[in-house]
Amino acid sequence: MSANSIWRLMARKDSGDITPAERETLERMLRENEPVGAAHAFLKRILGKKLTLAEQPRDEEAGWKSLEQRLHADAGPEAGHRLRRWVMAAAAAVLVTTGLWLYFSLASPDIAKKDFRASNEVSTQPGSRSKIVLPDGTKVWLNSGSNLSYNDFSRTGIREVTLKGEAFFEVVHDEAHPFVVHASELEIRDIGTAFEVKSYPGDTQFEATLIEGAIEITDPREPERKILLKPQEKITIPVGATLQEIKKHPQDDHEETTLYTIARIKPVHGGLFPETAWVQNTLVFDNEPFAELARKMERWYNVKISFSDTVISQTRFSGIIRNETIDQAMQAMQFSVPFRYHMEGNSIRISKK
Amino acid sequence: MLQDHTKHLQFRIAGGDESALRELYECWSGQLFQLAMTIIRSRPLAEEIVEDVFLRIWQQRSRLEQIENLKSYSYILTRNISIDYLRKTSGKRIYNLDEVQLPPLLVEATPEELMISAELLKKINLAINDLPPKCRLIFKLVKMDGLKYRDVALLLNLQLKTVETQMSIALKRLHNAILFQLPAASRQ
Repeated sequence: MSANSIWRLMARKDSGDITPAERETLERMLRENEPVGAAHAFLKRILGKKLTLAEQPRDEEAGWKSLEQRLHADAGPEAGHRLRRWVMAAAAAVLVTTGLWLYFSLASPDIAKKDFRASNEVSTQPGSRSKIVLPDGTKVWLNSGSNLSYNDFSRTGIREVTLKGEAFFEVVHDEAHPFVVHASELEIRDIGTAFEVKSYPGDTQFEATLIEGAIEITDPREPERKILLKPQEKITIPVGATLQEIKKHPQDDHEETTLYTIARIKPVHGGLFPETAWVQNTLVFDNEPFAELARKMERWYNVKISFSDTVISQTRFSGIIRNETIDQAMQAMQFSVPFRYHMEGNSIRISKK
Repeated sequence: MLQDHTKHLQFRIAGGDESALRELYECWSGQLFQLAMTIIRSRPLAEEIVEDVFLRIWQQRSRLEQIENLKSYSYILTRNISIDYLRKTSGKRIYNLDEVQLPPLLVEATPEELMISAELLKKINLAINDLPPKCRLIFKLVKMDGLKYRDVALLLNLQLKTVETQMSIALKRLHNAILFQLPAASRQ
C-alpha cells in the first residue's frame, strides 16, 4: 500500500493525525472517485452505530458480587470511612428573607400535545428510580414520579421522546437522526450529549443541565429562536414563558416573570453535581432551603412534607443522602438545626423545637 | 463512556466511593472480559482476570488520580494479568496477534434503522468478520471499544504506523465490499 493511498488517508483521518494538506488530498480523491466517495459517506453513517460482539452473555451481576466480596476481604483498616455517609456540612442556620427564594407563582399551562405517536411509555412510582435503554441505545435514567414516552424509533426513523418529570439522558449521537426531548412546551435537541431535564407537571420552572456535549433548546412556537447550552451549564426557565419573551436575568428585579438564567453548575461533596447525583442513587443538596429540599425528599421517599413554621422552612441545609431511611435523614438533619418532626403514615409535619 | 464521566468516577473512586467502582465495572467489565478472552480463552479465568483488574484499581485508589488515561491503563492491566495467567497455566508467554480469536463483530442496528436493505447490512457484517484476526481485533478496539490508535498501539505492542496500516486495510476491505452496491439515494 502506497504511503498516501486513499485508505491510508482515511485511517489517518479516523485517528485524528491527519494534516490539513492530507485532508485536502483525501477530499479531492473522494470527489474524483464517485463510487468510493459514496461508499465512504455511507460507511461513516453505519460505523457510527454501535457494534456488538456476538458472544455468550456474561452474568455481570454475579461478577460484581464476587468482586465485592474480595473488595471487602481486602478492605482492612481503610473500611471505616464508608460509615460516614452523611456529610452535614455547614448547615448554619442561614435565614433567608422571604421573596428571594419565592417560586414564580405561574399557573402551569397544559402540556402541549405533540403530533407524533408515542407507542411506548415508561413510568416510575414516587420513591423509585429506574434506568432504561431506548431502541437506539440511548440510556435514560428516570427519577421518581416521572413518565417518559417514545415512539418506535426503528419504524419511524424519528427519535423523539416526551418527558414529564426528571430524567438524565446519555444520547447515542446520530447526525442523521437528531434526538429530541419534549418537555414543558419546549424542545431539547442533542448535539452529542449527556444531559438532564427536570420538568415535573406542576413545577413552576423548567430546568435542563448539560454535562457533556451540546444541546439546543427551542420553542416550537418560535422555531428560529434557539438557546445553545455549553457543558456544565444549567438553564432555568419559568414554565409558560416563551423564549421570545425571555430576557437575561436582570440582576435585582425579581418581579420579572419571564426570565431565564444560565448558570454554571458546581460540584459539591466528592465531586457530585446536585443536579445529576440522583443518577447514582444519591440525593445531594448544597445550601438549599428546607422548603425546596422537602420537595425533593417528597419524591425521593414518596412522602408529603409540610411546615408549621416559616423560619425552619427557609433554613438552609447541605448534605448527601444515599441509603438512609427518611427517619435517619431527619435525625441527621436535626443534628445541625434543631426542629421537631411528626410522621403519620406518609405525612410529615415539621415544626419549631 | 464519556471521558468527563470517567474522570468523575476516577475522582470518586479515589475518595473511596465503592458505588463509583461499581459503575466503572458496569461500563468496562464487558470489554475487558473480551480482551482477556482473546488471550486466555477460558471464561472463568477471564472473569477472574477482570476481577483482579478492578481489585487492583480499588487497592491503588489513593494514587488513582495520577493516572492520566484510566481506560488505556485498565486495558493494559488486563493484558498484563492475562499474560501472567497464560504463563502460569500453559507456560506460554507469547500472545500471538495473528492467532487471536474474537467472536463475530456485528453492527447492532437493524436494516430498518439504518434505512438499508438486509442484504447490504449482511455484506458489511461479512466484510468485518472476514478481516484477518489481528486486523479485526484492532478494528474492534478502535470502533467498538473507542480506543485511540495510540492506545491500541501501546496495548498490543505495535508501532502507531502498524495500527494505521491495519485500519487502512480494514477500511479498504469494507469500502470494496459495498462499492457499486449502494442504492441511488445513498449516493447523493
